[in-house]
Amino acid sequence: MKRSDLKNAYTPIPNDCYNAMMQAAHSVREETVVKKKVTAIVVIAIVTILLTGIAIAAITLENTGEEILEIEQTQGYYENWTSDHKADLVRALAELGYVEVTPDVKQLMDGKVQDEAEIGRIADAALVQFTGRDVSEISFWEIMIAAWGPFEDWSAEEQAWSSQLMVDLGIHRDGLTLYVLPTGEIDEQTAVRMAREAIAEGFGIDESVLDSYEMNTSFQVPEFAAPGDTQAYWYVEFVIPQGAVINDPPFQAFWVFINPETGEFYETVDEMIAERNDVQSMLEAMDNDPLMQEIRAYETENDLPGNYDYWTVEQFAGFSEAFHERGLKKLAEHPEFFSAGTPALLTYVYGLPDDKAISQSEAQKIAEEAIVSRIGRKEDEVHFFTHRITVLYDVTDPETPLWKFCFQMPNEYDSRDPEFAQAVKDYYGEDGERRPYIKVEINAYTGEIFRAFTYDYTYDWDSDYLGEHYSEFLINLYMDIY
Amino acid sequence: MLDKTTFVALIDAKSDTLYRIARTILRNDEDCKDALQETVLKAWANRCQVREEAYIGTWMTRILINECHAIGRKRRKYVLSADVAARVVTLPADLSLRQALDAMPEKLRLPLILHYLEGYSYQEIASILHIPCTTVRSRLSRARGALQTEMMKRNGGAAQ
Repeated sequence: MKRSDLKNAYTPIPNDCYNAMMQAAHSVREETVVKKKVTAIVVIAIVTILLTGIAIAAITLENTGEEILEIEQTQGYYENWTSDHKADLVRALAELGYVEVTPDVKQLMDGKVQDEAEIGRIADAALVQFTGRDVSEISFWEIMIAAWGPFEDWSAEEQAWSSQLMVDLGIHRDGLTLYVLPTGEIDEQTAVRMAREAIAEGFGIDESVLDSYEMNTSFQVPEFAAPGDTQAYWYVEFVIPQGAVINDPPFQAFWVFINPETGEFYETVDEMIAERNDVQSMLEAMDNDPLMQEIRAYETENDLPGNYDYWTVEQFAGFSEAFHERGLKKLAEHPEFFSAGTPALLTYVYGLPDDKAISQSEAQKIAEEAIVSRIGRKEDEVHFFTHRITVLYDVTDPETPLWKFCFQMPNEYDSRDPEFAQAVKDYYGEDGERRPYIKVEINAYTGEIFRAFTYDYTYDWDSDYLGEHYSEFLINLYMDIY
Repeated sequence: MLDKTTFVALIDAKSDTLYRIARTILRNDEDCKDALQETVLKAWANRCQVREEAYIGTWMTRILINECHAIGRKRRKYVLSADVAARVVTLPADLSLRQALDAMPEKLRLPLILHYLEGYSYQEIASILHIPCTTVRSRLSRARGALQTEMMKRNGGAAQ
């Protein structure tokens, strides 16, 4: 992925947004910022109230939460629930003290409201008030967060309970953090001590520096765990607290994962620091590289689409002329600067057809015939495949220039052309076969078909969950396509 | 501490970046406008928190993200991606990519934008989003995959 691709996807800041923001910036006054202080008594009172509330509610709220989640599996989110289920939920939450017992709610709790619409209205109003959300947003998580506060503030037991509930109901999936109850030889205190020592040593700081940070711990199977990997870790995190000032902080936030049985770190602090420095250095090197800057400027000046598939034969040729030689050298020196289709674009030489070459339209006719004769598609399908074509003229071997046609049929999801999308759906059916993309290469001097094959962009994420080889896959794919 | 002149210049310089990040979370310009204004005011009010100029970018981004989430919750302006195209007044140059981005969950979209578009390092993103660096990496991996899939679904073609 190129940065320019993403930039093309977002317009610059609109004038009214810019003006509003600058107006706000100009409106500020240079005055002393006074922070409101909360007295210790108030803090103690709040904490006492919260702790008491949680202690009373914790046991039965869990049962209520489980029921909410179970109903969500069959009826969807709260707004779609039957009035009976809505009423039951409000009764439970009112009895637990979370929902205010207004006269309406009291009537509902006493079973004195019979009209379904009225039950719904009272229940909706009660839950909107409790969660602070609109009815359409009310869900298990919104209710639990309204009751227990932000998830990160939940106790380890509460976090583990919610994860286990997800597992029990078949909702948990790979890629989500699984919070579990602590196990293993290493307890939380030891994990924290190990984390502090390692981080202090890695950053070359005194451990006392970490006292200024907010520390969070949890026990979890991380979201980056490979499918089937159930190894849990102590997660210990240090972050600068909101509003705190730390002079010359060694980091804004840092964390480690510690194996509770072996005490090993998932990644050592040194590895993490080195990785951070490597990535930063690479990005800086790429941004400051003169050729990379030139390429970015060229793309902008020539208004080149972010996606190479939309380039014309002339645009490929112009890019090649400007950058092939230097780009190929840079690719050899810094392959990490380039991704996806760019290595192919720098490797091959693109140009424009000379007098000896057959014309693009002649070549395309041959290529379209190959869709049937070589690839085996039906005649009446060809017009679908030719709906969008990327065409390149490859002169890497000047003796054998090639016309390259990439037929990339937009599928029925292509909202830019609803008529075409409908036609595709009508022809192939709602669950029709997955259509391949087709590449046909033609000898530009003889008109002979050089190669014809199908391809697609499907990647096996299951076998490479973290996508460590995804970049390599794409580069190789584009070497074939372009 | 930041003086007003420096602050205004900083906001001006970062206007595009801040807008893009806001637009990554909120789906219409009216809400972005509110989020940006609030961010500016909160950033000024809390400017004493920042001692190192190098951290201003990440610090302000963090404020903006919080503000966007607050506005999103308050106004329920999270909309389905299908509605987005109809509501976008100024069509971006590459609508297809934009639609694909909009279809991704914010959890994946935000790291992608912060890393590839705004140039934040993994560590900086981790700091902004308060998630581990390893998680940033895994989300970026999945974001690339999700974007690729979305682009294929929408274009039947390639995403670089």
